[in-house]
Amino acid sequence: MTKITIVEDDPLMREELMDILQKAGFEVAAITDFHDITLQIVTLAPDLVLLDINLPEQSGFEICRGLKEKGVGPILILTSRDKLQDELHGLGLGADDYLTKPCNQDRLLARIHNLLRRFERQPELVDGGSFFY
Amino acid sequence: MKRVKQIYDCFHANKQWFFMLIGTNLLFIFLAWLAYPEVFKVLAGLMIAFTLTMILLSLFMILRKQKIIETAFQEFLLDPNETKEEMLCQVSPRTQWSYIRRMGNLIRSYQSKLNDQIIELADYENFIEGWVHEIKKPMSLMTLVLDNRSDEMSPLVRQRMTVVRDQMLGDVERILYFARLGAAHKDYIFERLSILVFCKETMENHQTLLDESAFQVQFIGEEIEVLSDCKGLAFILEQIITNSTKYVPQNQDSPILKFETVYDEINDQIILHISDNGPGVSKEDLPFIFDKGFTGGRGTYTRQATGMGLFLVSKMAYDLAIQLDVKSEFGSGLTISLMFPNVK
Repeated sequence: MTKITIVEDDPLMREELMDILQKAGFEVAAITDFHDITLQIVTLAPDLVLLDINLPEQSGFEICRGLKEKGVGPILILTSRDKLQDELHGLGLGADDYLTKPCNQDRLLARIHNLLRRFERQPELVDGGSFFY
Repeated sequence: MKRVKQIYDCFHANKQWFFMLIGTNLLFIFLAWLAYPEVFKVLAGLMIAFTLTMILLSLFMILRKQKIIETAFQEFLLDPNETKEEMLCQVSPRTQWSYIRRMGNLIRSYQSKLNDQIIELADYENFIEGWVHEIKKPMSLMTLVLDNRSDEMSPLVRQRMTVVRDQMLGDVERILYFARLGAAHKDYIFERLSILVFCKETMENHQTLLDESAFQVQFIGEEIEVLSDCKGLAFILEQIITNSTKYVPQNQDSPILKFETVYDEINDQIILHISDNGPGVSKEDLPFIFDKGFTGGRGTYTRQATGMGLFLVSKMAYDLAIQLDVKSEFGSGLTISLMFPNVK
């Protein structure tokens, strides 16, 4: 089963996202302790990371950079920050897609399926390793 | 020409001194005529030549001095600090020092107030932007709950809640665009868009709002590509749709929203006409509907209207180089035309 990790600080939003993804047939884990997020995600070894930007301890951008350095991916950023510079910054750090809130369920699931399809075809992008250096 | 004007202005400003000099000269010429009639012509000639030389010399010196004052004044205007004020005083006549000092104090006090207001405005803009991001969080949750738990609520509740959500989203978008109007850097990415496909996609995002008023949506004309910014154009369409749905009369049988593309060969323009069959706008109100805060005078618009939607549409259209035109008859609908530049 495809594993997705959610990094979202709002508990209700997190629960709702988990419910949506579970109903869509994914195995879902959520980060609730916002220390050493990158390490927690690496340990979980997900097939996709759903990442918010505005987090309490660490910025989503930093986490994105950390995950890419460790070859974890794909990363889908889901944030309320809709400025072009934020989107370009996120994509520049290695995020694979960028969605702005509010986002409806169908669009979110379509983007997730699309990303997973892309990365199934090119697994070396997920394995990463020294590829990104 | 500028030099001549400068000389004329200088002469005009000091004319009393020159006339006094000429008057004195005439007196001495008269005295010379009385005292030395035999050499009068020589004396008169010398006196006239001397006076004219003095006048020219004075003009030259005054112009030179004025140039120095002008340079110091320009520097003072660019940066009206106390040092520049002192430098201006040093080159100016002593009689004008008090005026210069008063002017300097006044400009500095205005500048200080202006700086305070700029900081306040920046804080306000940051607050609005921050607030918009905050309000988007619960709205995001609301969107997901409405999508994910549609089976846990009645269709009516879901539809009403979706309408409310869409209205709130529209209001939030408006305030965000308004706050960003004066931004130095704007996020526009111009790309080729198939106009009717784009309209259909935007409609889908507002389907609930259109369904609530039982709107029939029609797409007419050929598919044409335009070069525009996706988000900006969506904002324009959303505001026009919201406008049409907001003012649909309660007793309207079949409200229609029509999207029609036309290529204007004469002006080489692609035109998108968006028309409804709503209450329309009276002739006297029509020229003002894109003005800030205009809400109409004959009851076409509700009292709740802020008059900001179409104002923001006009601003966004200006940024995207889209010309706007509006046609309406009171009681028989409104047509807003978007004229896109044909970029090759």
